[in-house]
Amino acid sequence: MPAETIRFTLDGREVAVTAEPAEPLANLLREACGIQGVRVACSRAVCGACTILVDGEPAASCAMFAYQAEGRAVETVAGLSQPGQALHPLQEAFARHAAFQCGTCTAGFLMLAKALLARHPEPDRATIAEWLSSNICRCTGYGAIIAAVEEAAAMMRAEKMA
Amino acid sequence: MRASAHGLIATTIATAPRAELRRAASVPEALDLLALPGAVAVAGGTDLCAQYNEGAQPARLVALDAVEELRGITVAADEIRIGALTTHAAGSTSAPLRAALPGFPEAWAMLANPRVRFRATIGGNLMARRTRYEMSLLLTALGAELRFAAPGGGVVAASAHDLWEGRIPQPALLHHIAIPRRRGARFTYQRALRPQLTLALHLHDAGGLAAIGTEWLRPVALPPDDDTLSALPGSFADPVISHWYARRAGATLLRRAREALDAR
Ligand SMILES: Cc1cc2nc3c(=O)[nH]c(=O)nc-3n(C[C@H](O)[C@H](O)[C@H](O)COP(=O)(O)OP(=O)(O)OC[C@H]3O[C@@H](n4cnc5c(N)ncnc54)[C@H](O)[C@@H]3O)c2cc1C
Repeated sequence: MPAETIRFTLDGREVAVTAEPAEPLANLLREACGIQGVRVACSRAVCGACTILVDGEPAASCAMFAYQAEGRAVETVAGLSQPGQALHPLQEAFARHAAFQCGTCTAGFLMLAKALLARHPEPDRATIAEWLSSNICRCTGYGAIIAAVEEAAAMMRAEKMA
Repeated sequence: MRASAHGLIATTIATAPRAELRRAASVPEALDLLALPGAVAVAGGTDLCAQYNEGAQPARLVALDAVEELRGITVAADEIRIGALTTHAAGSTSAPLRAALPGFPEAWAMLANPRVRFRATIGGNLMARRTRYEMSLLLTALGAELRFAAPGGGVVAASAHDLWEGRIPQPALLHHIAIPRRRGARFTYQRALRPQLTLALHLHDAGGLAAIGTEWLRPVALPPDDDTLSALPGSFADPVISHWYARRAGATLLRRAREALDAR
């Protein structure tokens, strides 16, 4: 299959990437765009390690084809904060709560939580648990991750009010 | 990596030979493309990736994204139409659907998880033909029709049962799902015993229908009366649940379903 130019917005920048349109989007992001923060684990949309946002909606990039990014706004963990700038409240809260151990799932959880907080700025525990059940963590345990998301939500609300 | 992983572990989209991508812009074009050898439709892609892991190696992918006709929910006087490309997220939050068929969007919202729901479509859920996917059970209880695009234009109707039996037109392009509208319709889905057993109940002024299913068994339609579970075919048993258990637990789910509808 000949390569094509696929244009989309990647973490706020317009990009034009030459790729095979039927390759997994996760591959394109990791290999052509160099975003190693997009982790690939299960390759079947189950574990959520490769979660990105597409037009603000969470998606498993391992189960999307590159062509499906065309014309869309793709957000990855790499766009959460820029080098030398403050961390995103979610990143700060994850660090403070030690909400990761091996780190394989962390980028996916951060992106999923970003989508959650965009829709539910004041989520209750049940909503957080429902959303986070989309992704799999096998070492940290969900308690610390839920606590981190609760704290990040509070930080983001406070930032908005300031 | 692609080469070295090949054969060592399950093939994935990343390691399988790359398919040719064809983009359909209309229903007739999609039908033409799906008639090509080795062609498969792509809606959200969330099940297709699992098919790759199971060894599928489609030669051609037919992207349906641009076929606008396959999108949207319309509520008419006699039926509700749900386009095959409607995502779980869109369907489960549709206000017109909620007004027309209380309980159905709530049941739809139980499927999968928030991350999957934004991409996965009703058409993909049905056409994947996996007993553990629940939409065919919900639609069985609703007496819905699956309408497939016909080569000369128009649609060909099939039931959820026909889909399981493979009695659908080829090439198969699911166009929309049609749910007949009934006066006094209400719907509930009892899923607490999933994956062992789930039950949907649809009641309306003129009667209704129940549907029961398991992770491994095709859904079965049953009359919604007190004797419902005695109509369960003897073949309804799988490696996890016996027929006896299905009848006992099914009766409990039916009672809960009735209570849920009475409480509304
Ligand atoms: C982690 C996870 C959890 C899940 N949990 C649940 C659950 O709890 N309950 C549940 O019911 N489901 C569940 N699912 C399944 C999910 O609902 C399906 O993956 C989804 O609905 C498939 O939709 P899709 O648009 O991604 O299909 P695709 O992957 O694009 O397609 C699936 C199949 O259908 C064919 N197809 C798609 N659209 C059409 C069409 N219009 N005409 C003809 N053929 C078509 C494709 O060729 C393919 O064979 C889960 C999936 C995942 C990944």
